[in-house]
Amino acid sequence: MKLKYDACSLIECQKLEIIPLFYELFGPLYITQSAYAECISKKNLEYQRIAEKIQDFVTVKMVNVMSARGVLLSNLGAGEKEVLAEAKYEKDQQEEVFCVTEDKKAKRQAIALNLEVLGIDYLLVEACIEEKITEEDFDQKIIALDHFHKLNLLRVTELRRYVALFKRKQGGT
Amino acid sequence: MWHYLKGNKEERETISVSTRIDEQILKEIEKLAQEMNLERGSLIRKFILDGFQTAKLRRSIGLVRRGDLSIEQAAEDAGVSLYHLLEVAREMDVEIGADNTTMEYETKSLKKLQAARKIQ
Repeated sequence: MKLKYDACSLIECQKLEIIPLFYELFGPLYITQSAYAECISKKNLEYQRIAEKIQDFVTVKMVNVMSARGVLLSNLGAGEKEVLAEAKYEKDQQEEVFCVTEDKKAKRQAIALNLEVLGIDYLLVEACIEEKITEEDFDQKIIALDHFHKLNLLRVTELRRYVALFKRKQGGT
Repeated sequence: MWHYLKGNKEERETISVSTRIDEQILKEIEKLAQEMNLERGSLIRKFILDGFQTAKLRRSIGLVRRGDLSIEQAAEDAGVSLYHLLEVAREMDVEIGADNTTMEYETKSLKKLQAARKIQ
Protein backbone atom coordinates (compact mmCIF):
# COMPACT_ATOMS: atom_id res chain seq x y z
CA MET A 1 0.00 0.00 0.00
CA LYS A 2 1.38 3.37 -1.04
CA LEU A 3 0.04 6.85 -0.39
CA LYS A 4 1.19 9.41 -2.92
CA TYR A 5 0.97 13.04 -1.92
CA ASP A 6 1.04 16.07 -4.16
CA ALA A 7 2.97 19.21 -3.18
CA CYS A 8 -0.02 21.06 -1.75
CA SER A 9 -0.96 18.13 0.48
CA LEU A 10 2.58 17.75 1.73
CA ILE A 11 2.78 21.45 2.58
CA GLU A 12 -0.50 21.29 4.46
CA CYS A 13 0.57 18.12 6.30
CA GLN A 14 3.74 19.88 7.34
CA LYS A 15 1.84 22.95 8.53
CA LEU A 16 -0.52 20.73 10.55
CA GLU A 17 2.48 18.78 11.91
CA ILE A 18 0.87 15.47 11.02
CA ILE A 19 3.61 13.96 8.86
CA PRO A 20 4.88 11.65 11.67
CA LEU A 21 1.26 10.63 12.40
CA PHE A 22 0.57 9.74 8.77
CA TYR A 23 3.93 7.96 8.56
CA GLU A 24 2.97 5.83 11.55
CA LEU A 25 -0.48 5.04 10.16
CA PHE A 26 0.13 4.70 6.43
CA GLY A 27 3.87 4.28 5.99
CA PRO A 28 6.25 6.57 4.06
CA LEU A 29 4.81 9.58 2.31
CA TYR A 30 5.53 9.05 -1.36
CA ILE A 31 6.10 12.20 -3.33
CA THR A 32 7.43 12.81 -6.80
CA GLN A 33 10.47 14.88 -7.61
CA SER A 34 8.41 17.81 -8.91
CA ALA A 35 6.28 17.83 -5.78
CA TYR A 36 9.44 17.68 -3.66
CA ALA A 37 10.98 20.53 -5.65
CA GLU A 38 7.81 22.57 -5.31
CA CYS A 39 7.84 22.09 -1.55
CA ILE A 40 11.41 22.56 -0.57
CA SER A 41 13.82 23.47 -3.32
CA LYS A 42 13.37 27.24 -3.01
CA LYS A 43 16.29 28.73 -1.19
CA ASN A 44 14.67 30.31 1.79
CA LEU A 45 14.54 29.42 5.43
CA GLU A 46 10.96 28.20 5.51
CA TYR A 47 11.59 25.73 2.71
CA GLN A 48 14.80 24.50 4.34
CA ARG A 49 13.05 23.97 7.65
CA ILE A 50 10.44 21.85 5.90
CA ALA A 51 13.14 19.83 4.15
CA GLU A 52 14.80 19.04 7.45
CA LYS A 53 11.55 18.04 9.10
CA ILE A 54 10.22 15.76 6.40
CA GLN A 55 13.35 14.02 5.20
CA ASP A 56 12.91 11.01 7.50
CA PHE A 57 9.33 10.41 6.41
CA VAL A 58 9.17 10.94 2.68
CA THR A 59 10.30 8.90 -0.24
CA VAL A 60 11.00 10.88 -3.39
CA LYS A 61 10.74 9.30 -6.79
CA MET A 62 11.53 10.46 -10.30
CA VAL A 63 8.56 9.94 -12.58
CA ASN A 64 8.35 9.74 -16.32
CA VAL A 65 5.15 11.65 -17.04
CA MET A 66 5.54 11.04 -20.78
CA SER A 67 4.62 7.42 -20.19
CA ALA A 68 1.21 8.55 -19.02
CA ARG A 69 0.58 10.91 -21.93
CA GLY A 70 -2.84 10.34 -23.30
CA VAL A 71 -4.42 9.51 -19.98
CA LEU A 72 -3.71 12.82 -18.34
CA LEU A 73 -5.86 15.82 -18.89
CA SER A 74 -4.63 19.38 -18.91
CA ASN A 75 -4.74 22.15 -16.31
CA LEU A 76 -2.79 20.25 -13.68
CA GLY A 77 0.58 21.28 -12.29
CA ALA A 78 3.70 19.20 -12.92
CA GLY A 79 3.61 17.64 -9.44
CA GLU A 80 -0.06 16.67 -9.68
CA LYS A 81 0.45 15.17 -13.14
CA GLU A 82 3.33 13.08 -11.85
CA VAL A 83 1.35 11.81 -8.88
CA LEU A 84 -1.52 10.68 -11.09
CA ALA A 85 0.78 9.29 -13.78
CA GLU A 86 2.74 7.22 -11.31
CA ALA A 87 -0.36 6.07 -9.46
CA LYS A 88 -1.91 4.98 -12.74
CA TYR A 89 1.23 3.13 -13.76
CA GLU A 90 1.48 1.33 -10.41
CA LYS A 91 -2.20 0.51 -10.33
CA ASP A 92 -1.79 -1.10 -13.75
CA GLN A 93 1.01 -3.18 -12.14
CA GLN A 94 -1.58 -4.40 -9.58
CA GLU A 95 -0.19 -2.28 -6.75
CA GLU A 96 -2.46 -0.73 -4.15
CA VAL A 97 -2.05 3.01 -4.54
CA PHE A 98 -3.90 5.95 -2.99
CA CYS A 99 -3.50 9.52 -4.21
CA VAL A 100 -3.64 12.25 -1.60
CA THR A 101 -4.60 15.64 -2.89
CA GLU A 102 -6.47 18.68 -1.67
CA ASP A 103 -7.19 19.88 -5.16
CA LYS A 104 -10.65 19.42 -6.65
CA LYS A 105 -9.39 19.35 -10.24
CA ALA A 106 -6.77 16.71 -9.42
CA LYS A 107 -9.39 14.69 -7.53
CA ARG A 108 -11.76 14.72 -10.48
CA GLN A 109 -9.00 13.62 -12.82
CA ALA A 110 -7.95 10.85 -10.44
CA ILE A 111 -11.55 9.66 -10.38
CA ALA A 112 -11.68 9.79 -14.18
CA LEU A 113 -8.59 7.56 -14.20
CA ASN A 114 -10.30 5.21 -11.75
CA LEU A 115 -7.64 5.84 -9.09
CA GLU A 116 -8.23 5.82 -5.36
CA VAL A 117 -8.12 9.38 -4.06
CA LEU A 118 -8.46 11.03 -0.66
CA GLY A 119 -8.00 14.39 0.98
CA ILE A 120 -6.00 15.04 4.15
CA ASP A 121 -9.31 15.43 6.00
CA TYR A 122 -10.17 11.81 5.17
CA LEU A 123 -6.81 10.61 6.46
CA LEU A 124 -7.52 12.52 9.66
CA VAL A 125 -10.86 10.69 9.86
CA GLU A 126 -8.97 7.40 9.72
CA ALA A 127 -6.51 8.61 12.39
CA CYS A 128 -9.47 9.46 14.61
CA ILE A 129 -11.22 6.13 13.97
CA GLU A 130 -7.96 4.34 14.77
CA GLU A 131 -7.76 6.39 17.98
CA LYS A 132 -4.44 7.93 17.07
CA ILE A 133 -6.06 11.29 17.65
CA THR A 134 -9.10 12.23 19.74
CA GLU A 135 -12.28 13.74 18.31
CA GLU A 136 -11.19 17.07 19.79
CA ASP A 137 -7.82 16.77 18.04
CA PHE A 138 -9.65 15.92 14.83
CA ASP A 139 -11.76 19.07 15.16
CA GLN A 140 -8.71 21.18 15.90
CA LYS A 141 -6.84 19.81 12.87
CA ILE A 142 -9.84 20.48 10.66
CA ILE A 143 -10.03 24.04 11.98
CA ALA A 144 -6.30 24.44 11.33
CA LEU A 145 -6.70 23.02 7.83
CA ASP A 146 -9.52 25.49 7.23
CA HIS A 147 -7.18 28.24 8.38
CA PHE A 148 -4.62 27.30 5.70
CA HIS A 149 -7.13 26.89 2.91
CA LYS A 150 -10.79 27.54 3.37
CA LEU A 151 -12.67 24.27 3.58
CA ASN A 152 -16.04 23.47 2.14
CA LEU A 153 -18.57 23.65 4.98
CA LEU A 154 -20.74 20.80 3.69
CA ARG A 155 -17.66 18.62 3.45
CA VAL A 156 -16.58 19.40 7.01
CA THR A 157 -20.07 18.79 8.38
CA GLU A 158 -20.28 15.46 6.57
CA LEU A 159 -16.86 14.34 7.85
CA ARG A 160 -17.69 15.31 11.42
CA ARG A 161 -20.91 13.33 11.16
CA TYR A 162 -18.98 10.36 9.77
CA VAL A 163 -16.53 10.42 12.69
CA ALA A 164 -19.31 10.84 15.28
CA LEU A 165 -21.27 7.97 13.76
CA PHE A 166 -18.24 5.70 13.73
CA LYS A 167 -17.36 6.62 17.30
CA ARG A 168 -20.93 5.87 18.43
CA LYS A 169 -20.70 2.48 16.73
CA GLN A 170 -17.34 1.83 18.40
CA GLY A 171 -18.82 2.80 21.77
CA GLY A 172 -21.80 0.51 21.22
CA THR A 173 -19.76 -2.61 20.46
CA MET B 1 5.62 53.15 -19.66
CA TRP B 2 5.67 49.44 -19.03
CA HIS B 3 7.59 46.40 -20.13
CA TYR B 4 5.93 44.12 -22.53
CA LEU B 5 7.38 40.67 -21.83
CA LYS B 6 8.28 38.94 -25.03
CA GLY B 7 10.40 35.79 -24.98
CA ASN B 8 13.34 35.73 -22.59
CA LYS B 9 14.78 38.61 -20.60
CA GLU B 10 17.23 39.70 -23.27
CA GLU B 11 14.48 40.06 -25.86
CA ARG B 12 12.20 42.21 -23.72
CA GLU B 13 10.64 45.01 -25.65
CA THR B 14 9.51 48.23 -24.00
CA ILE B 15 6.41 49.87 -25.32
CA SER B 16 5.19 53.28 -24.30
CA VAL B 17 1.59 53.39 -23.08
CA SER B 18 -0.24 56.54 -22.11
CA THR B 19 -3.19 56.76 -19.78
CA ARG B 20 -5.10 59.38 -17.84
CA ILE B 21 -5.12 59.54 -14.06
CA ASP B 22 -6.50 61.90 -11.44
CA GLU B 23 -4.25 64.91 -10.80
CA GLN B 24 -4.38 64.47 -7.04
CA ILE B 25 -3.27 60.82 -7.35
CA LEU B 26 -0.42 61.89 -9.64
CA LYS B 27 0.74 64.39 -7.01
CA GLU B 28 0.69 61.68 -4.38
CA ILE B 29 2.63 59.34 -6.66
CA GLU B 30 5.24 62.05 -7.26
CA LYS B 31 5.57 62.60 -3.52
CA LEU B 32 5.96 58.88 -2.91
CA ALA B 33 8.48 58.57 -5.75
CA GLN B 34 10.55 61.34 -4.17
CA GLU B 35 10.48 59.58 -0.80
CA MET B 36 11.52 56.32 -2.43
CA ASN B 37 14.23 57.96 -4.56
CA LEU B 38 12.58 56.70 -7.72
CA GLU B 39 11.59 58.35 -10.95
CA ARG B 40 7.88 58.90 -11.32
CA GLY B 41 7.73 56.64 -14.38
CA SER B 42 9.59 53.83 -12.60
CA LEU B 43 7.17 53.93 -9.69
CA ILE B 44 4.12 53.94 -11.96
CA ARG B 45 5.63 51.00 -13.88
CA LYS B 46 6.13 49.15 -10.60
CA PHE B 47 2.51 49.81 -9.61
CA ILE B 48 1.28 48.51 -12.95
CA LEU B 49 3.40 45.35 -12.77
CA ASP B 50 2.40 44.69 -9.15
CA GLY B 51 -1.24 45.23 -10.01
CA PHE B 52 -0.92 43.00 -13.06
CA GLN B 53 0.65 40.20 -10.99
CA THR B 54 -2.10 40.51 -8.37
CA ALA B 55 -4.84 40.49 -11.01
CA LYS B 56 -3.28 37.43 -12.66
CA LEU B 57 -3.04 35.63 -9.32
CA ARG B 58 -6.63 36.50 -8.38
CA ARG B 59 -7.86 35.31 -11.76
CA SER B 60 -5.99 32.00 -11.30
CA ILE B 61 -7.47 31.56 -7.82
CA GLY B 62 -10.92 32.15 -9.27
CA LEU B 63 -10.29 29.40 -11.84
CA VAL B 64 -9.17 27.03 -9.05
CA ARG B 65 -12.34 27.78 -7.09
CA ARG B 66 -14.42 26.87 -10.14
CA GLY B 67 -12.41 23.68 -10.57
CA ASP B 68 -11.08 24.74 -13.99
CA LEU B 69 -7.46 24.83 -12.86
CA SER B 70 -5.51 22.93 -10.24
CA ILE B 71 -3.81 24.68 -7.32
CA GLU B 72 -0.31 23.84 -8.59
CA GLN B 73 -1.10 24.89 -12.14
CA ALA B 74 -2.52 28.16 -10.86
CA ALA B 75 0.69 28.85 -8.92
CA GLU B 76 2.76 28.01 -12.01
CA ASP B 77 0.64 30.24 -14.24
CA ALA B 78 0.78 33.15 -11.83
CA GLY B 79 4.53 32.67 -11.29
CA VAL B 80 4.24 32.39 -7.51
CA SER B 81 4.99 29.66 -4.98
CA LEU B 82 2.27 27.35 -3.71
CA TYR B 83 2.70 28.90 -0.27
CA HIS B 84 1.99 32.36 -1.64
CA LEU B 85 -1.02 31.20 -3.62
CA LEU B 86 -2.52 29.47 -0.58
CA GLU B 87 -1.95 32.59 1.51
CA VAL B 88 -3.58 34.90 -1.02
CA ALA B 89 -6.54 32.54 -1.46
CA ARG B 90 -7.01 32.54 2.31
CA GLU B 91 -6.81 36.33 2.43
CA MET B 92 -9.44 36.46 -0.31
CA ASP B 93 -11.54 33.98 1.71
CA VAL B 94 -11.86 31.81 -1.37
CA GLU B 95 -12.56 28.11 -1.05
CA ILE B 96 -9.97 26.47 -3.27
CA GLY B 97 -9.86 23.00 -1.77
CA ALA B 98 -12.08 20.06 -2.53
CA ASP B 99 -15.82 20.43 -2.21
CA ASN B 100 -18.38 17.78 -1.29
CA THR B 101 -18.94 16.51 -4.83
CA THR B 102 -16.17 13.91 -4.62
CA MET B 103 -17.01 12.72 -1.12
CA GLU B 104 -18.88 9.61 -2.13
CA TYR B 105 -15.86 8.43 -4.11
CA GLU B 106 -13.44 9.42 -1.35
CA THR B 107 -15.49 7.52 1.22
CA LYS B 108 -15.15 4.40 -0.95
CA SER B 109 -11.41 5.04 -1.20
CA LEU B 110 -11.24 5.37 2.58
CA LYS B 111 -12.94 1.99 2.98
CA LYS B 112 -10.41 0.45 0.57
CA LEU B 113 -7.61 2.09 2.55
CA GLN B 114 -8.99 0.64 5.78
CA ALA B 115 -9.18 -2.80 4.18
CA ALA B 116 -5.61 -2.50 2.87
CA ARG B 117 -4.36 -1.50 6.32
CA LYS B 118 -6.03 -4.52 7.88
CA ILE B 119 -4.28 -6.85 5.43
CA GLN B 120 -0.94 -5.24 6.28
